[in-house]
Amino acid sequence: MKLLILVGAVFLAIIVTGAPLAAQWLNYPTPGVPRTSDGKVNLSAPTPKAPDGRPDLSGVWESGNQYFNDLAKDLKPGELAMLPWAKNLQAEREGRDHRDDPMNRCMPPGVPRINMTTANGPHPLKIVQTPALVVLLYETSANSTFRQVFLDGRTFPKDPQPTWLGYSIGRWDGGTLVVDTTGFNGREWVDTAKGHPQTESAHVTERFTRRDFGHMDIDITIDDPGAYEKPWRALVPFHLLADTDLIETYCENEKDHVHEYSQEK
Amino acid sequence: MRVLIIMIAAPALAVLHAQWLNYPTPGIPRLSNGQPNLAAPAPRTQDGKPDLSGVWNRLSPKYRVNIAADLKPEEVQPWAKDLVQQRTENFGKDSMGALCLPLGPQYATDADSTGGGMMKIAETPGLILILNPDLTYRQIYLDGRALETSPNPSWMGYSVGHWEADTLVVESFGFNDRTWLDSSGHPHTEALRMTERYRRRDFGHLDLEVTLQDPIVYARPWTVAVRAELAADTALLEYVCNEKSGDREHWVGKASDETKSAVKIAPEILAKYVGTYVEQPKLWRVVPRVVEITFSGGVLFGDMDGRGKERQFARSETGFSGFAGLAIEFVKNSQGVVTDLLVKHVSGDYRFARQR
Repeated sequence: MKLLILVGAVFLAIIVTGAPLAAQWLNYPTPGVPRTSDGKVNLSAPTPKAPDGRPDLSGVWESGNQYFNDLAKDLKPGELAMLPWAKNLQAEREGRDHRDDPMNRCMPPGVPRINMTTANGPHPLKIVQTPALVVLLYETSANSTFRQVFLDGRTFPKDPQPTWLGYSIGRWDGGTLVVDTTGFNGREWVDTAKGHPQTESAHVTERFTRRDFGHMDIDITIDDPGAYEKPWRALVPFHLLADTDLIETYCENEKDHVHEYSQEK
Repeated sequence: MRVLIIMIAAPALAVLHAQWLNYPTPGIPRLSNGQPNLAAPAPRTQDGKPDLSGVWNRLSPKYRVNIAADLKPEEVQPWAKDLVQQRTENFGKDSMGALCLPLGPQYATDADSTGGGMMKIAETPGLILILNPDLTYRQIYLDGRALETSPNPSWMGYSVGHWEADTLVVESFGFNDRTWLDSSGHPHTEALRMTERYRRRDFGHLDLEVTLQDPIVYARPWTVAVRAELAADTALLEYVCNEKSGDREHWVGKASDETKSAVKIAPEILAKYVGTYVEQPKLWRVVPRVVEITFSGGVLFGDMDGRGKERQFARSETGFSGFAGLAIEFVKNSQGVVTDLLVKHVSGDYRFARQR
């Protein structure tokens, strides 16, 4: 199938369109969710079930703090073992205040970083669940974007076109949705302040477990022999953002990138 | 209880699993030759509603170029017409596509230069998603909420939907005024209201009527009809616009420069090109594209895919440009009879065989 690729401009920096929280849907009570007697969402209610009997992960979720900056923050010494080139690159990135972060040029954040909220404000994800397809909608600090997780039995594509968000397949393991993603273009960053590298050989596993109505964990495994001596795991907690929805965010191009950084390093 | 086990041997499918762009969509009705049965009845969801889910190829060659094609000139504000003129003259280099910004309301009628635009629809009872290859998404709420009276203007707008028999009716409002309604640059304001009516005619065909209302620019609401074909056995390919480098400063010149450098070709020669040319092979479309070449008033015109007549400017005896600047070339056989038309592309020419 032929696609006509539009020729875009050269962008060097972004201005994020900030949307003031005036819209009522940002405070619209989600229909059909369990509530306490004072009308608030009952975050301790049991995990709901989808029509097909699976746990229903649907909802707007926000990650715990700081994983956007350092996914490895909870790891014990020795659990994260970078290959020498990766160690050098990571140190350089950390020293340059994520200057070359592709997100600064409006590229998608990559997986798993796209799931994480930032210090500047919530960047939630919204899970929309159907039996054969789970769609993850994201409000990022770059562009609003989405991922598709296919639960129709397909396997990974062989020799796929590398992408920023990879190709995701999912399956249920008891009450946990296991999402496996490969096919990355190798330009993603695992996190922001630390700049842990990710290569084309990365295989990212995200295990979604909804513990109760208001709480979910994503247990992330990074298996990337191109950058790390061994796979490493990070358990990231998420909490439900009730009665609200995603705000759209889009980068708008601006020529002058240098103004983002007040000091050359 | 006896359990009936059905074994299906499908060795060929194992190879196709390799590429999601050629992955057989599970669970769709098929003909005996394995091809999707596009004429099968439209499917329904568990709760009895029409199921619009799938990857669709939206066909909108005409309205993608000119959304106001069916309006009379006096029904469009003069300032809007001037803006269209200006934007076309500048090759649309400030369009959303060129700036890597969302298309907003135009997603409903958008198509690329081949007339097609992909989208994926995912359906749940309370929410329908439309996913686009440029990684934008639309949420259409069917949970009973109303559109807000003074929404915060946004690129993608706000959409609510409800079912009227087997038709999904989507109302949208709250678009910012920074997008164009088509590739010619028809503007709209924040007052724009859009209504879309989706009806899945059968398994492989989706009909869509889009009604636009913006009294500040257009004298009356109007409706355009667009259709979509199911793109079975494939997937959206991620398209990150910001990644495609290319310097807009290099888009120099004006569209009208084309007229100045045209070559004069004798009418007898031009008249020989008149005819109907049908695309071979038909790409991924169910029905191939057709180019109609006509000749009147000493000028050669080409109508690509029903978009409307576009003037063709001669570069040589057989080479012309006119389809939004794309070059075409007529091919003759050894007897000098015109047999084909080629639409020239860097990635390869599209061939249209003359039928009449």
